[in-house]
Amino acid sequence: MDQFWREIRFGFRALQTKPVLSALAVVALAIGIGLTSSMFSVANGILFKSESYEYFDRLMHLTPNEKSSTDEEEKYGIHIDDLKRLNEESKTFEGFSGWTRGTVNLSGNGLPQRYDGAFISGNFLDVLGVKPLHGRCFTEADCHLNSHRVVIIGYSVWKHRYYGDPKIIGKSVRVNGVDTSIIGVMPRDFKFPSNQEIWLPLEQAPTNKNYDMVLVFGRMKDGVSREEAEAELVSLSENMPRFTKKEDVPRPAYTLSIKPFTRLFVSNKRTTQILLGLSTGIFVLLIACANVANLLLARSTLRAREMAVRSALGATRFKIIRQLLVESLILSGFGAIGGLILTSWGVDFLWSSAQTLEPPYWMNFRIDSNVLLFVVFITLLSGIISGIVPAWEASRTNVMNMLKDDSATSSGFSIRRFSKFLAVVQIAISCALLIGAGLTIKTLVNLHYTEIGFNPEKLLTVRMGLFPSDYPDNKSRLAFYNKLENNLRYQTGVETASITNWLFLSKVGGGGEWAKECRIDGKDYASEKDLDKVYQTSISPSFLTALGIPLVEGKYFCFLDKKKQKGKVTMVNESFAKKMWPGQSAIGKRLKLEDKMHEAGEDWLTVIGVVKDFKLTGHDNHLRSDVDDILLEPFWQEEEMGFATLLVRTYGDPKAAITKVRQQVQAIDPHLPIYFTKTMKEYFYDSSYFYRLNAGLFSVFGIMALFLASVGIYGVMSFSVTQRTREIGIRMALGAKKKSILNLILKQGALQVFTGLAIGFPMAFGLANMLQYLLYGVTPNDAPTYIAVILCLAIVALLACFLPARRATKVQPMDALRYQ
Amino acid sequence: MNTLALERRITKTLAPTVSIGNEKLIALDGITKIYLTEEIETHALSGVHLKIQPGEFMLISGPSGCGKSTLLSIIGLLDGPTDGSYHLGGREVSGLSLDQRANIRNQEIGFIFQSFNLIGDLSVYENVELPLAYRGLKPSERKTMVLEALEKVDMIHRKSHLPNQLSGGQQQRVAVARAMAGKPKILLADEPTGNLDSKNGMLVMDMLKQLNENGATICMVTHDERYAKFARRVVHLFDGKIVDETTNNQAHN
Repeated sequence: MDQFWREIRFGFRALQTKPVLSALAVVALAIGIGLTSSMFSVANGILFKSESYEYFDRLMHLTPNEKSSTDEEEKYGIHIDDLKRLNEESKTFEGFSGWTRGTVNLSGNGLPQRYDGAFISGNFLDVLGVKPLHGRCFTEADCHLNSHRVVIIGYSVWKHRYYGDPKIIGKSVRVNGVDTSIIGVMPRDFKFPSNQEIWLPLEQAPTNKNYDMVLVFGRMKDGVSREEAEAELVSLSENMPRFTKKEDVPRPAYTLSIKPFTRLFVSNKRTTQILLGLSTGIFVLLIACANVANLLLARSTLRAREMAVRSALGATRFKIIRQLLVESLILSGFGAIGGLILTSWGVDFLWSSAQTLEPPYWMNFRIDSNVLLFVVFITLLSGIISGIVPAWEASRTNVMNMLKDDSATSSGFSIRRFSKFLAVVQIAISCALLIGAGLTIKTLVNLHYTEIGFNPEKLLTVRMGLFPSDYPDNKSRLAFYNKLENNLRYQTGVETASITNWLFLSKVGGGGEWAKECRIDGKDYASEKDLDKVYQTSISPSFLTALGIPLVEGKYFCFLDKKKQKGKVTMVNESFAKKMWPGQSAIGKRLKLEDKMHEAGEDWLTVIGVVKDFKLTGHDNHLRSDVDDILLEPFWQEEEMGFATLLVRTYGDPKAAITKVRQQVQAIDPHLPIYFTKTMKEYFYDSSYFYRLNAGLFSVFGIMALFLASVGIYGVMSFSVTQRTREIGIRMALGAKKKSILNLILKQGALQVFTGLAIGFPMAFGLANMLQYLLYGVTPNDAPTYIAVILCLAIVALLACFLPARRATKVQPMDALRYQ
Repeated sequence: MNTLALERRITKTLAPTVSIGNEKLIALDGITKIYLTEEIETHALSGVHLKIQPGEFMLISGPSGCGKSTLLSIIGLLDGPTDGSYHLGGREVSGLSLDQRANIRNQEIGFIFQSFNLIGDLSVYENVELPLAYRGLKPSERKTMVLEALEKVDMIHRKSHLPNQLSGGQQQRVAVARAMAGKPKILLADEPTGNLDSKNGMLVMDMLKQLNENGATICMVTHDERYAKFARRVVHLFDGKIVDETTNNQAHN
């Protein structure tokens, strides 16, 4: 123990003798550890952490695996009849619950308000093992379509809407237009499954065929392994009847698999992205370690005599290595302190940035015990990685030669070679990261200049949901929308207003819309999979004029045509028309949407107009396409126009119109809340969140890597010049001029830089291909980006070489030959 | 190859670089060298007057710290004097720029150091070739001169080796080849035997003797009295001043 403390004391003393060198090493490690730990805290918050709430333990999401499973299908869910069978027959699970998310409009007691709600099986609190703070959970009697409506509210609803009323239980409120009794209040921090604040029985979900399919979670019994549970589910799902009582349509066969419930909220793409971010952080840490290794190598050369004396006095090789490792661990320890400070800033920044995505309530990025353990681990690892080779080299000192001061020939060839290798590695990694940064930045620029086909300025979007209790049929809903549109047009500051059922919402894993399959009349499709895809939305006639989208041929929808029209009509965008009916006019052509949830397909739609291309899908990654294929229908054709978005074109600040819109909505229906109010510009901005995040992260990583690599190459060249002082002296004694020496050193630096670039180039290409799904308007092998990055890196690295090279030209041959 | 054979080869093949005459190759007048370290002035040389004739074998001797190596460095233009004048081949060289001095070192001066000062990363061939490359000679010319020089010191069979693969004696032979390859006007040797055993030391001295007999001007620093017999003139330095000068009539006999 005494020896250990002595080594630490010596270590501190040794580091103090070269304060600049030590400070550089600490800064490099702090950057590396800070960036890596910040990324780890994100991965920890999303992927690794065992959840803060006990009820997530052993809680599994059931995934139906169809042959062509994609993320969308994975979330598609399980038939409600299968859920019942699972609950009856499973031996490995405590129980299963079905659920689905939905809008819940709450009114009475103040302004109507919209909440994120969950329609969920009556047993959900039993499965989770959670008790309400006040009141009770659902009972069997509550869970029928015709039962008296009951609701469980969240803590914040109770506190903020009902001011913590102690007599809240039993109180009647209007939920989605129906009188409903509050039967329970959940504890603070309970917003299961993601950010829900209201829970209603699954059976009372709004009438919709899709609600036959629900998401299902189950809790494994204590002691049951995941494999056992999965095996049982496979067996159960294989034996499930493929026909339901209600329909004669066979449901697709599937086998069930499970995954931790929280992973439901993180798609595979996001997981890849998070792991990519973490790997990038680790690369920067490796650059930092290479830097420190180089600095320590330089120092170990200067301390060769000290090591020889230690060896002569009886220090074994192991002891010398240990002593030097203690020093590198002290450096990494200080680096970790700096790294933790950077991590706390990084985590704060990343968490506040992630709020755009409305992360689930159980998710957070913070410095917890996992992150601290990770920091300790990478600190030890980076201390050892950066210290082991210098320590090993130092321990190889030839004691006799060193003590005799016999340095007849230049020494340290292997050290220099290793040192050069490290510089090459740094350049290569920096090259890859900077090209990643270049491509993601270019993506952002491209997005900024994307032609969206209409003017998003002064355009407000507002969402609202009409429920069957208040609006039992399409006629009543259309009457509401028409009245609202007309009333708004007469408001000062409002240029025009229109209605669409398109959801202008971009947030992680949800919202937004997806393309539907469609069949073109007269076109042969080999199978269902070959059907064409199109984004469909229903609009009021003023939609296209409100957005300013010009007509190419045919005519706009018109209320006057509503009664005259025979069959259903549609409008399509120009690109879609050209693609489907090349060389022909689209007017009069027919197509129909194919909805697999419907027993028979939709009606044929006749094209009456073609409009210029425009962008409906924002920039969200999984909805991204260069041109949207769009199919527009007049909103009177839509059977279930319960949810709609109001578009308001204003003369001034669109946000200022929110109050006016709310007043007009409530003038018609005092119980109807408005929500998701955002400007069209915000919609497009938010939809580019992941592009901005990637560009930001890669820029930070790239710039840090460039900084570290230039410090690294400066260090290597500086070390090399110091090492070669004597050689330079000899060369000068033999007649070398300044220019020759400058060339000699620059050539050495250039060789490292270009070798690094040559290695970095394919690495960058690999990385760019991994980033492909994050790129827009730029290919992974975009030559201008590669050239710009390589030039930038080469210039910076050669500048870093130039300073030591210039120092080399100032070597006095006499001093150099005296130099040992 | 034995010592005698090696000596014969050197005598036979190394052409004289300068003819012996009355003109002075080197003339130092009142050379002083003062080193300033913090606030202490160290007088390494104090008014040294020295002339070296072409073809001379001169030895500078004296105790450690007397200024021998400093004097040799100034003669070799590795260092400049604080005061005094230095004429090399009739030209004043004490005020030349670094590059001009580098040119003269490359064309007219050959160095042999106590610690050989071969470049560890370069092969024997490349070490010998280095001053010729700085002179801007064509590769074919360089090759002829390098091989000739290496053959003369009997190191041609080791031309691809790195210095650390050679013994001390062999390294010094390579250093001699490097110094002589460019046929300089004067050869400066700073304790060339200092790192060698007596057998190898004597071998190097014999080589130098043969070179001198062949016309090379040699100025050598040593504190080893055994080698005084090889020089025609011995200059004794003490505390930065020439305190004695003896002529050795026995030399070369």
